[in-house]
Amino acid sequence: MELSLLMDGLVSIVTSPSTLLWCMLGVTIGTLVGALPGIGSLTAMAILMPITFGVAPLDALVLLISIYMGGMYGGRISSILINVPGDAGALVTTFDGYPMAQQGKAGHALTLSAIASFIGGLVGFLGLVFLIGVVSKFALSFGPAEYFALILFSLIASSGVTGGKPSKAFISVTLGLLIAMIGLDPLAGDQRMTFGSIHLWDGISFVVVAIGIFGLSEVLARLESNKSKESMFTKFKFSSLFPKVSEISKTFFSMTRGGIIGFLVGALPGAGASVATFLSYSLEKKISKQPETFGKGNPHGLSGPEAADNASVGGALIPTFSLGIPGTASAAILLGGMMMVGLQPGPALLQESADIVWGAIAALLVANILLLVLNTLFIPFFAILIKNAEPYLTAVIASLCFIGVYTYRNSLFDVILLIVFSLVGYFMRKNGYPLAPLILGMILSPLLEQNFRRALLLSENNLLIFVSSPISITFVLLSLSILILPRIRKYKNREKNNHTLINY
Amino acid sequence: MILRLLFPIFLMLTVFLLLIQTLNLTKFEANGTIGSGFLPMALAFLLIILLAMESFSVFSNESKKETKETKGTANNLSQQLLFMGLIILTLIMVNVLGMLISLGLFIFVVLFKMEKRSLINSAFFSLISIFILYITFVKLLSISFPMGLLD
Repeated sequence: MELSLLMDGLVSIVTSPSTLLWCMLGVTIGTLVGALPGIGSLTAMAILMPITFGVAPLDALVLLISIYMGGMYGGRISSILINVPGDAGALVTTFDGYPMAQQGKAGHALTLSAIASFIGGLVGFLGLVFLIGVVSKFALSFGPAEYFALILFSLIASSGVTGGKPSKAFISVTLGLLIAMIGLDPLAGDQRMTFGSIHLWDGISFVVVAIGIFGLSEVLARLESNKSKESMFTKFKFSSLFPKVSEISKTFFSMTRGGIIGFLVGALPGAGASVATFLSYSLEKKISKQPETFGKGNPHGLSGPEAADNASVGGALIPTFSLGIPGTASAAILLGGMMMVGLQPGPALLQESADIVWGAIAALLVANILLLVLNTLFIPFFAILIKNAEPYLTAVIASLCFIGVYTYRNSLFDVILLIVFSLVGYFMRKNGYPLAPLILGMILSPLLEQNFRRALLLSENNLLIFVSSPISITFVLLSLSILILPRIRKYKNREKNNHTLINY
Repeated sequence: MILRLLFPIFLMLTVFLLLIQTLNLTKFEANGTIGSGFLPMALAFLLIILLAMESFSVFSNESKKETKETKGTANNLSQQLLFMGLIILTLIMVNVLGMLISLGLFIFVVLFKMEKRSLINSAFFSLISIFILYITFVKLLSISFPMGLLD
């Protein structure tokens, strides 16, 4: 059943010149933007999302997925050539990729990582195809209480509240939830927190906030860190950029292992590409016969994590497509894009819009193949771009943000909000508040509220409905455990350290 | 320390304004079910508490120890202010000059004044950018902009 739907999706992409064109455009632009130093797939998606406003639903999704994948591929180029990762997922690529480039093996590193990205993307794609139906069928049994518990769990897990600064992550996610409630109440039609302004009746769109905090605030941050005057200058020879195929086959198993790790970790809310790449790197180092060469240009240290990075996309799309719950900020932007083209995310999506969803999944495979070609044959072109694009980034990013927000609703008020949220995003970055939870909160806020109110309506205001089924109990317990266990562990470690100090 | 405290305090004040807005909303319906104001009010309260705790934490940590704070140079700050000023000016000019001309001027000034590109390079790049934006958004995606002088 799934395979026939997938085949239909594939056919609909490869036989439609316009869809194929959007896919090619998406992977090219995604790679170009992702290859720019400091700009990852998330920023690429936020900046380029407005291009999807004027196109058909399938084309819009294909474009967004292609940009997502392209950004993931592109991120490795700046990591390898100039030691500046586009995002957290591409950080591990610098560990061995950059030393390889310094040893004159830039071409080898880029080709190896492109093939690793392809293998990882393929593993992620296969995992997605075979698991999405199972998860979706299971999710169909969810009522409002189970769904509320699931969203709560996802918010807690995805927002990084288990990390070093949980209070800041909490603030970020709660702020996102609250901002999304501005506007008309979907059930009662009351104006909420609009200050009487008609401009706020439709609420504050996540498009404006995402472009503001990820796009325009990035420009402000770049101006502060003076990126245009630093970072660039690792010399590389263009002759070294052309592919060398030797030794690539030796790392095949590292790529497969990385792909499997990336897919499994990517499917968990909150874990994402960065955790997957670090796990893959440490596994490769552990099982290597020459662990001392890691960090000095070991190809296994490059290929495993790179595969994990791209495989995590397939994993992250499982909860996004089957439950309507994005596990990562990039998936949240994709989900927002789905909402904008009129799709209703949730367990019924796979039944109601099967053609579009399976078309989008097929696009993952098509984009992956196109990206392999693009990233092996056109590497010198991207290298030239990285060397020369920096002075133009401020103007280009800002213009795309400006025009993108305006085109969303043809409203200059949205551009004012863009300026406000770019400042909010900038100061959040500066004060150590994570940005991704804010977007996750905004995307999930309507679903959270809807299911909360519906569950209470069904139970006649009995709060016990949230712990009345095994599914919701499981999610509540999981939420509590990921909130409490790290604190207990921290407390125990501190006690242990104190004890050691006293004994010492 | 004051700079680090300013952001949570500013957020707290903003959320407080939102909280005041929620006070007029229905918290509970006549049949006892929760109304449109319940969750926004609860979240605003929670956020104010979290922000107050955060401010206190910043205050107490900063009093105890010197923390590393990345300070932008005066030059970077002036670049940021110039950039924001240009964005606001572009916003104001959109209705007069039109979207494309305003953005063209914005790109030109950013390249020429901030990035110190040559006059010809800046002008050429801004013209090319506007042409690409026009083809992509107006021709390809059929999205209409205020055209201003070009109307």
